[in-house]
Amino acid sequence: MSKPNTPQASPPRALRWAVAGSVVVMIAAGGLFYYASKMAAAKRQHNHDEVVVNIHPGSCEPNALTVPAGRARFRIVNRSDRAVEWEILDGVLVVEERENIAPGLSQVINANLQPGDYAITCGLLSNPRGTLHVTPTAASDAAAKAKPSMVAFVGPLSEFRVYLASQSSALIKAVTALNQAIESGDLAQAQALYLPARVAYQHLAPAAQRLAELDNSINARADYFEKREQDPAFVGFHRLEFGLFQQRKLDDLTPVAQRLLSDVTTLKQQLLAQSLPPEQLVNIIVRNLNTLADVRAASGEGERYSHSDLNGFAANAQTARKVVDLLRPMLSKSAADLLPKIDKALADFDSELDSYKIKDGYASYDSVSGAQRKQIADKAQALADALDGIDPALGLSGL
Amino acid sequence: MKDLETLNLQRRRVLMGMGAAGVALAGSALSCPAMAAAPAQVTEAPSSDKTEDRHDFHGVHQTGIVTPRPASGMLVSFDVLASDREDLERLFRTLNERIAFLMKGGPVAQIDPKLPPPDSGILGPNVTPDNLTITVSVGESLFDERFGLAEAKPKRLIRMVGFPNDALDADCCHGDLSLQFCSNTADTNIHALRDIVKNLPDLLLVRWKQEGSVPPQAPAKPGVPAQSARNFLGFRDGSANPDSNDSKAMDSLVWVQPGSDEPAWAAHGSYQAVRIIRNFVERWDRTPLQEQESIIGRVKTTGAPMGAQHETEVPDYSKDPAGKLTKLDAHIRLANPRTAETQANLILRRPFNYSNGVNKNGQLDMGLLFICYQADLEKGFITVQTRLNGEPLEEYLKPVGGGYFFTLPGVTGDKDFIGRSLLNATQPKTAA
Amino acid sequence: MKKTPLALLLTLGLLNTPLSAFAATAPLDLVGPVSDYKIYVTEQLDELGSHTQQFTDAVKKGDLATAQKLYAPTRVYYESIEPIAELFSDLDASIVSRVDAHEKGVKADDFTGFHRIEYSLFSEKSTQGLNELADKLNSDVKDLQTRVAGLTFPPEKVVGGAAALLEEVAATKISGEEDRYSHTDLYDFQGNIDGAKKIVDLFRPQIEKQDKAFVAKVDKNFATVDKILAKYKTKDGGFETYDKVKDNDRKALVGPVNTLAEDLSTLRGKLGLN
Repeated sequence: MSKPNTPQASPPRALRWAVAGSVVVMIAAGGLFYYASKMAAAKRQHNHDEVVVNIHPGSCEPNALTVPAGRARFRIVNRSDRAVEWEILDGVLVVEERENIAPGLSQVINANLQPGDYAITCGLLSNPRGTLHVTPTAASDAAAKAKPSMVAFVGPLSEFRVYLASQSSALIKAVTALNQAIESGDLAQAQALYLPARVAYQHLAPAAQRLAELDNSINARADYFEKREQDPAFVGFHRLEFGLFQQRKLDDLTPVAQRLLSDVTTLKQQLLAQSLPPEQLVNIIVRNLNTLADVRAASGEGERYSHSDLNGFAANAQTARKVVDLLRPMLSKSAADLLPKIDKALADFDSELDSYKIKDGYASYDSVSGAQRKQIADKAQALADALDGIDPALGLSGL
Repeated sequence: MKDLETLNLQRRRVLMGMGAAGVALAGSALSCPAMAAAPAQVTEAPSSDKTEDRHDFHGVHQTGIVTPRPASGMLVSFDVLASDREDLERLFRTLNERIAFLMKGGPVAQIDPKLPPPDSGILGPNVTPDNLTITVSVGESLFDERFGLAEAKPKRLIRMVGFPNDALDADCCHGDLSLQFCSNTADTNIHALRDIVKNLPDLLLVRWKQEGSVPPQAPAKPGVPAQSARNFLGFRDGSANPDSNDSKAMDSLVWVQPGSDEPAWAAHGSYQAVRIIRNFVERWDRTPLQEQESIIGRVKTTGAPMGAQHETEVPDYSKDPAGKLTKLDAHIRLANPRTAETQANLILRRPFNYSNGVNKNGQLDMGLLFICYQADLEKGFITVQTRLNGEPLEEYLKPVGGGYFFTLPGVTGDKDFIGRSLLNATQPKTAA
Repeated sequence: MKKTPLALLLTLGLLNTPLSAFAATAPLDLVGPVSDYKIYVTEQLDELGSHTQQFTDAVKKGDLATAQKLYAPTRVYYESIEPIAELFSDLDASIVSRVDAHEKGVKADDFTGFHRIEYSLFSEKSTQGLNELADKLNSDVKDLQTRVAGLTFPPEKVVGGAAALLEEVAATKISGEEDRYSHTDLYDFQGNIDGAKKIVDLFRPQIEKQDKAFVAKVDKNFATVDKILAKYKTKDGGFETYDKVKDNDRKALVGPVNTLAEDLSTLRGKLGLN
C-alpha cells in the first residue's frame, strides 16, 4: 500500500490509525483465511471420504496410503511445475488414473477398490512409486461371498476379446505399413499412414491404457519426460508424430518406428493375455471418455503435432458403442431405464463428432474453437456419466 | 413223511415230462404248496385274461379315438384300387363286415381243406377280439376325379405339407385310406390286417404301415390319477391331453359337429393327423438330464411340469413370463401356451412308440408313431406343429412320414355301413 | 462303493459321480477359450469364403474337373465349425442339406447348396445350369460370415459343439451317407474330428483341472480315429473315396467315435455349464 503523494506533510492521525487498523484487519483476515483453509484441509484429511496426495517434483507425499475397500476419494495436488498424471496400479494393470493434472492445481479421483495391495505413480515416469493398501470391510467380504453367476458376462467379455484381437491385428498391419513408408524415406506417405495406425490404436486405447509400462512406450506424451521432445526415452506414436508433423523429416524415426511395431505386437499378446473382469469392461470406457472430456477435448494435446484428435475421439466412441452393444441384452433386461439414456448420449456424441467431418476424415483440431471443444467435452462427459450408471445397475462391482 | 415226499418228487418229475397238461393234474392231486404252479414250457403261449375284451363297433362315433389306448397299435395306409363308385361302395361294405366281425370275435368259417383257408389262423379257430378297434379314415386323394366325391371333401382336409424339420420319405407318406388298428397285442392287429387284405385284393393296396406299442405299468392305485405311458425319450407322453371322458370337451375339440361349416355327412367324424417321427435316441441318451428336462419342459421321473410334483398339475405361465421355470421354447410350452386363445388349438393325442430296425451307421431306427384327432385340422395339429417349428427338441427328431386323413363318422346300426354317409352325400340314390 | 459287476458303468464314471460333482469353472476362465474359438471359427469361415469362390468360379466356367477337385477340400471348412453354422438353421439348410430332407428329392426347388451341386458334378457329371445355384452358395456363405461375426458365442454352445460334431460323425459320416454322389465323406469326417479336437484343446487346462484321466482317454480315442483315417490319405493331402474304406476299418472307427460322443457329451457338465 503506497502512501498517497500529497502536499500534506502527514495524514491525519485518524487516517493513519485507520490504515494501520485495516492492515491489521487484513493480516488478521489473511491469518483467519489461512487458519480456516488449514482447518478445512485437515478436516478433509480426517474426512474418510478424501485422501490427499501431494505430488512433488521427485516424489509424492504421503507415498504409503491405506483406505478401506469400496468407494474412495483421492485428491491429487500437483505441487510440481509440470503436468502430471496419477495412477493406481494393480500389478501392471491401471485400475484408476487421472491424466494431465496442471501444475499447482488438484484433481479429485473417485475409485471403487477391492481389498488388496496396489501401487501409485508419483508424477514423472522416472519417479519412484508409492503404495496403496486397501483393507477388507464387512461389506466387501459379504460381496465376495455372495458372488452372483458371472456366466452371463462370458459372452460379452469374449466378444470384446475377439474385438481386441481383430483391432490389434489391424494395428499391427497399419504400423507395419507406416514402418515401410518411413524406411523407404517417403515422408508424405508416412504422414498419410500415421493416421490409420493412430485410429487403430485409439480403438484399443481404453483397454491398452491398463497396461501401464507398454502404454507408456506406445503412447506417452513428451511432457511426461524430463527433457520433453528431446528426451531419449520419448518414443512411440507421439515421437513419430513429432518427427512427421512438427519437424517434417524422417531423421531418426526408423528405430522409433521399429520399436513401435515391436511394442504393438507385444500389446496384442498382452491384451489377449489379460483377464478383463466385467466391471472393468465398462470402467475402461468410462475412464477413457472422462479423460476425453476433462483433458483431451480442451487441450488438443493428445495430437499436438498432427491435430488429428477428432479421429481419435471417433475411434474411442466406436469402442464405447461396441461395449454398449455387447451389454445391450443384459441392459435391456436389468437396466431398461438406463439404456435409452445411454443410446441418446451415444447418438449425441456421434453427431457432435460428425459435424466436424470433411470428406472421409475430420477437420484438423487446430481449426476447432475453444467453445466447440467445450461442446465436444460436454457430450463426452454426458456419455461417460450415462455409462457410469451401468456398474450399479448391473451390480458389476459386486461380482 | 419222507417216503411220501420222495414219491411226490418222482411223480412230479414224471408229470413234468408230460408237459403242460400234467401240471394241472399234479397241482390238484397233491396238496403240497410247492407243487401248485409248475414252470411253463418254452413255447407255451403267454396267457392273458384280456383276449375276450371287446368294443362295440357301432356308435355315433367310430371307436379307437376316445377309447382308452391299449398296448399295441398299427397305422396302415392304403391306395384304393376301386375303379368306380360301385367298387368303392363294395370296399366300404366289405370293410364294414370284416371290422364288425374282427371286433366282436367268433369262430372262423370252416371250408374244404383243398381250398386256401379264409383266415390266417394266427388267433386260432376262434378269433378273439382282444380289445381290438379298427378306425377308418380317408385321405385327400380319395376326393379326386375317380369317385365323384370332390364336392363332399371336408373343408380342411389337405395333403400333408412338410414342415421345416421334416425329411419326408414319399414311400411313407399320404394315402387314399388309413386304418388304425389298436388292441392288447401286436398279433391281434396283424391278424386283423391280414384278414382285411385277404378280403379286398382288388380294392386295396398297402402303401405303408407302422406298428407301435406303449409300455404297460402297474395298475394305478385307487384315488391316484393314472399316468401317461412313456415314449422312447423316456418321458411321459400325453400329459395335458383333454379329458377323453368329457363329452363336452370332445364335442368341442375332437368331433365335427352337426351344423358346422363342414359338409353335413362329416358330422361326428374327426381329422386324423399321422406323423412318423424318428427319434435320435443315442444322441438323446447322451444329453444331460437337466437339458432333456428343459427341452421338454417337464420333470423326467414324474412327468410333472417343472417345479411341480404331479403329472396332472397345470403349469401357471403367467407366474413365469421370462421362462425361468419352464423355458419359453420348451416343447410343452410351445405346443400349448395355455392362454385363453390357445384353448382352441387343443388336440387329442393317441401315439405309440415304434422300433423298426437299424441304420447303415449302426444307429437305431425308432421313434414316435404320432396320431392325433381334432375337429379342425388347421386350428389343431397344423397350428400346434407350426408353433413347434424350430424348437430345441428338433435336434433329436426327424419326421419322415405320415399324412392327414378324415376319420369317418360312426356306424349307427345294422342298416348302416362305414362310409355310407359320404357316398350318400354325393349320390343320394345309394341303397341302404 | 460296493464292488459289483457294474464295472462298465464305473469305467464310464457314471456311478462314481454324485450329484453336482463338478465345481463350476470360474466363468472368467472361459473368456479366453470362448473368444479363441470365435477367432478360429472366423478364420475357418474366411477360408470357406475364399475356397467357395474358387469352387463356384470353376463351376460357372464349366470346368468340371477342377470343380470336382475343389468340392471336398472346400467343404472341410464348414464341417469343422458345423455346430456354430447350425445355429442359423435356414443357412445350414440351404448350404448343406442332403437330398433326403426334401420330399421331391433332387427336383425339389429348395434343394440347394453343396449337395445339390455335388449331384450335378458327380452324378450327372455336368456343370450345366448351375449358375444360379453357384451364386446362391456364394451369397449364403457370405451371409453366414456376417451372421457369425455378429453372434456372441454362448459358452455352452461352444463347449457342447465338440459332442455335436461327434454326433454328426456317428450319424452320417461313419456310413458314407453325407456325400453320396462324390463319396468324399472322409474329408468331412476329418473336418468334424478336427473341429471337435480344437474345442477340446482350447478348454484342455480347465478340463484337466476337473479330470486328467478323462482328457487322456479322449486324446487316445482321437488318436485312434486319426490313425485309421490317415490310412486313406492321398498324396495330395486329400482322402480316398468312401467306398475304399475296408469293412474292418469302418468297424474299428465305430468304437472310438461312439465313445468320444459319450465322453464329450459330459464336457459341459464337467465345466459346470448348462
